[in-house]
Amino acid sequence: MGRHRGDSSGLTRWDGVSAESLAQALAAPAVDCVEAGVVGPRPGRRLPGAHRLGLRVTAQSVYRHPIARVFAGALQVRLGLSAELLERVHTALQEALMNAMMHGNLGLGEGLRDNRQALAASRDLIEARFAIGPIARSMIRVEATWSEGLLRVAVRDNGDGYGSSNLPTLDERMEAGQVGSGRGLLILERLCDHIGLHRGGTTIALDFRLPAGDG
Amino acid sequence: MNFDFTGNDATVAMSGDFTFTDHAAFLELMNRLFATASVPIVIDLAKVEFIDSAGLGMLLIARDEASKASRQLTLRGPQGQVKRMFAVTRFETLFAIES
Repeated sequence: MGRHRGDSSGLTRWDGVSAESLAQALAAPAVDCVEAGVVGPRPGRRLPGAHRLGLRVTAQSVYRHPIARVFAGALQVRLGLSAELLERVHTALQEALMNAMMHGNLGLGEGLRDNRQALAASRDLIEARFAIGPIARSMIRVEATWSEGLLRVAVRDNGDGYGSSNLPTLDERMEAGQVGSGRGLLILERLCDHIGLHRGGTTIALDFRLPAGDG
Repeated sequence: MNFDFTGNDATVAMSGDFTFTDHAAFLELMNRLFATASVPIVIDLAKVEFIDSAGLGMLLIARDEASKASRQLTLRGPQGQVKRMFAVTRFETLFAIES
């Protein structure tokens, strides 16, 4: 059983074992969920029932569990998202989490998987990073907030950040034959109604317009 | 992600989610695909339910390997989210895709 009902603030704990236990930990009325053993600050006190859902997980769990699917599902339960919007939220969150884990917390650069040899080396490289406890347990935060007409899902990593203005466009990357791991951020621009980078590029905010009546 | 080979080992059907955690499985899949003789390769995606940019990237690596080996590579039957991700990234300009 991964869920530990928290205090009246809606704080729950995830045991890090499975997608099922995460779904239990994120079930309403949870407001903040923290994975056991994650290294980083704990959530501050929040009013229960606020229009938000927060999750603090380890980089290792982002790699090993379908965090995006479960978190998007928890939002779907709360907001009644359409299938189309649920898919966009799930896909965009997957991209943001992968970018946060790979480039932020693990500090791995672009081009890691651009060819067969690099792909073959990447697993060893990732596992080597995860063998370092503080890296494996380093925190990635997901925070969803919603109000009338807008859902924002923000993902914050533990790295040095990046700036989208320095990245080539999808067209430029394809023309240059650069078709590897840098595609995620560019896909985000197509799936979200707006994206923003904050905190020196360590936080990406994914905005989705909600139809009237949601939020 | 799971996969099953059929016939001559040049056709493989993938299923489930195909994401950045699947690189080891995809390498195994590619090793078997490219161990076959010089016949066209088909990757059947009809039962893949979800793909991310890393999954797309791995398909592009397979395309590059096929090109190096002068092998034809076809992606078959993308559905749902996979089909929509192909549209977002204009994969139809990069692959032969069968419905």
